Amino acid sequence: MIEIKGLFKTFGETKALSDLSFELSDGGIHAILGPAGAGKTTLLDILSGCKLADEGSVIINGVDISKEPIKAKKKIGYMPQIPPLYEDMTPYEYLVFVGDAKGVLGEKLYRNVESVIDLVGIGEASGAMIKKLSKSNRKKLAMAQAMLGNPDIILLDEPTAGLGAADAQNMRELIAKLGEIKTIVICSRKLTWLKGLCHDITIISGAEIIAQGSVEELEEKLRATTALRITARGDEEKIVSALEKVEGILECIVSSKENGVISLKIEHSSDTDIRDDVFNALAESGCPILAMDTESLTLDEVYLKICSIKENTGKEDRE
Amino acid sequence: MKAIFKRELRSYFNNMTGFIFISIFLCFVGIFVMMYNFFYMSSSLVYSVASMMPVLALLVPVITARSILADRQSGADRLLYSLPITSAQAVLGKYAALLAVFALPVAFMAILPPVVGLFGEVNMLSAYLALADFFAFGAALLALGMFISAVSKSALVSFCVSYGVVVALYALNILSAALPSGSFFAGLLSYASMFGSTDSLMYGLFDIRALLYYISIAAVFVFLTVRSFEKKRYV
Repeated sequence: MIEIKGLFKTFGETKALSDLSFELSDGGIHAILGPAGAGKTTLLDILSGCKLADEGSVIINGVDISKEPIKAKKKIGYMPQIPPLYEDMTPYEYLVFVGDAKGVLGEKLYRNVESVIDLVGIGEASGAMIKKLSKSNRKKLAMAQAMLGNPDIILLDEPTAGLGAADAQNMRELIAKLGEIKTIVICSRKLTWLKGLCHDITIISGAEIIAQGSVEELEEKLRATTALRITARGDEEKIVSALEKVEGILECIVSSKENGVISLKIEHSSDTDIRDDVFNALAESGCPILAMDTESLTLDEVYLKICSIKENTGKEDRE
Repeated sequence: MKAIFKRELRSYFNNMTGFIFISIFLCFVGIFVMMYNFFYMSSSLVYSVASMMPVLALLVPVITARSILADRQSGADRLLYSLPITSAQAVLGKYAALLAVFALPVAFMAILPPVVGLFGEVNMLSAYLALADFFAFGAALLALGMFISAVSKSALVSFCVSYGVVVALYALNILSAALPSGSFFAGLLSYASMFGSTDSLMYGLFDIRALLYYISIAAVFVFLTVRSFEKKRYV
């Protein structure tokens, strides 16, 4: 289990983490989601011992990382976003070096190295120099080094960043396989590929936690908005001002206008059905509706919306 | 620490820096031995050792400039910080590798006294004490170079600062020679320059204080490098 209490971290004037407190249970795959600059990498750096927090504590399976860093680091494997590789070594030499540094000795070291090479699937490339490896193999090698020494918890920072669709899918399958035997913590900017993979998600934005729970819980809690797509004939200003009077509408976005026909996307709160009100409002203003369709926002769109709302709130607070 | 040492030592010979350092070093050793022991017919090896000190000072940045910096630039320092080792173990592993690269040509120099002794009478004690002094001098320079690498932002800056420091230290030695011999400031500048023992070596005098001084310098700069390495975890 990972317990994080009251974590603060600043870089000069920039607040990277602000009073972060949460727990990640043993086993399964946990995701930490957030836009760029949210503090995800800083959080993983602190969890892995690469950086020290200004305040707060991190306890890894009962060991405080600030008080017993060596003991805590033995329980963790870390794969940073930029693979920390040595270009002048082969993957096999590199893994032997990392395993040796982690305290895996003798015959056990070579068996461990061979097993992680098989698990990640870089057997064919293990004799070539690292500088000649593809991006995908570099990521796999970085994951392999994180698995050496049989750590309890593996931290992955943007494991699919920079990979093509096929390689990202392979990585996803590898993580799913690992998640059956280890506790995995993944940091990512994208939600889509995490659905069906992780057991719970913590969303960080602006150095703070803004939501936490399982995917289903978040979908239920955050799907506070749905959308209506309409096509109407009339003046754009007249249509928009008529819609603004309808209760429950959050935002009207004009997607196209051509020959006096306007297409709009209307976002509204999910607890009201505004179709009747929209119909009546446009009929009163003499703008007939040519088409109407409902649309539920995807969890990605909701997530992006939450992050942009958080960002705008932050901007307003600063102003 | 052993793992870091092995990796670093291998890296000096995977790229060309180790070979360049050793080959230039031994080239100059050969020149000085030929000059002093064969052309000038001297049986003492201390002149060659003393003459190698400025050469060593100019060669050290070749192997130290990227000793800490390379990992920071490639992102491999994150690996070192996340491994279950202390900052001291990481830095000492790197320093030990630097010493090992330096020890290889010095080990070759260590076989010269009996070889030259085949052609004349060589004071073995004096030769090996001079070598010990020389090795300690090199260890101090390596520690200084490693510290400069730890605090520099680029390899070019690290090189330039290292050479600047070497020139400044040599200038201090020249300045100390210009001052009245035996005066306090002359002695102070001579020690501070780190080239001070060159003169006493030339006269066949071995100064234990110089040896201890070099070892202290090495210890101080290794300590400062560890602190600099550790400081990166706070920022």
